[in-house]
Amino acid sequence: MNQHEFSPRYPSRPLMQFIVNNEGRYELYTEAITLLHDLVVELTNMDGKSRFTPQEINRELEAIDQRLIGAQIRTAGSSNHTSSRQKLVEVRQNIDENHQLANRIRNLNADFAAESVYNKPTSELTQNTARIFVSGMMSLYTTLRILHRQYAALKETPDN
Amino acid sequence: MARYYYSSQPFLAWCFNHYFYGGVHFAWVGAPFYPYRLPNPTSSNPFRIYQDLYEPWKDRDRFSRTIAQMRLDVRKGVIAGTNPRSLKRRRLFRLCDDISQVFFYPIVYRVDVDLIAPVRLELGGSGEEVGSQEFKIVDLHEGQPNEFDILFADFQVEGVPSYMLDLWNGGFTERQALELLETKGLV
Repeated sequence: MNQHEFSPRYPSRPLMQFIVNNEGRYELYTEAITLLHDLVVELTNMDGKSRFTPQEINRELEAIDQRLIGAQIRTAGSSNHTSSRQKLVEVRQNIDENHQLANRIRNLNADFAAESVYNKPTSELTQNTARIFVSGMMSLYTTLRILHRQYAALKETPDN
Repeated sequence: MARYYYSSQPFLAWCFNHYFYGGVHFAWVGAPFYPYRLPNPTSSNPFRIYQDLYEPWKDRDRFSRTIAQMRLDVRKGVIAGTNPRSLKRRRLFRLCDDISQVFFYPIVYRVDVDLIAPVRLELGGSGEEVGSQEFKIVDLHEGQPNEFDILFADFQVEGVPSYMLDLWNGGFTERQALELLETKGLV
């Protein structure tokens, strides 16, 4: 096990720019990372409590995916159709990869609970892996928040 | 079982619950306020949460991990309390992301669990795993009877901006509160 294995998959710099320079995409993507954070945070035992059940999170993430598919379809008539469509595919892939990683961390916890003779499900191992993921998600959120604010400020500048 | 349970939250969360979700408040509550030597982990310890929020708030620490965490927590409330694609969700998300740190001043909910029907006291997380004293309550109501008190709302002593005191005193409609938060709070 190494830290990289449980760190969230960050979008590339161009993909981050693609996300933050559109209100709808920013809202959808940050909503997804908020939900993924919630899926794992409980396992850290220190970074907060979860708000939603895993079933609720799966449902919300599915709805986000459907909206991204809708956005892909709507790009058909635009001039930069291929590039936007490709980037929307990458956004969906990124959310899916992070969702799988979050589920893997949850499964590790469940496996340990099944094997433990101490009946203590949230083991040190899963706490550590959960902390790596949750910290990474918070960093990703902070980075996007700052980039989005910079983008909004740039847009409001008269020269732009 | 203890009678009083506590939840430390940023003032922003109270504002959102009070003005935008019909006065229905969400809280993870733990007991006692300082569960020293009890099984409650840090995330279920109202005293630790208060401390972890108060210190960066007082220090105006722009890089505080706890405040970033709270921004995400208030966002979760927005997901639960608004419709997808609504303008309200977008505006509240923006407040979560960009509102001044001054709104993360911690306050403490004190809940008399004897007044709450047991079916509303959800056990979860470390409550189930390690037997910590905590519950999730998704629908704490203001009004008569008030299902909770707020402690440590020492706005004047702390010298917070007057518009925060105005919000605390109530009297705004949802629209007015949203406009006030956007005009005064966004940085």
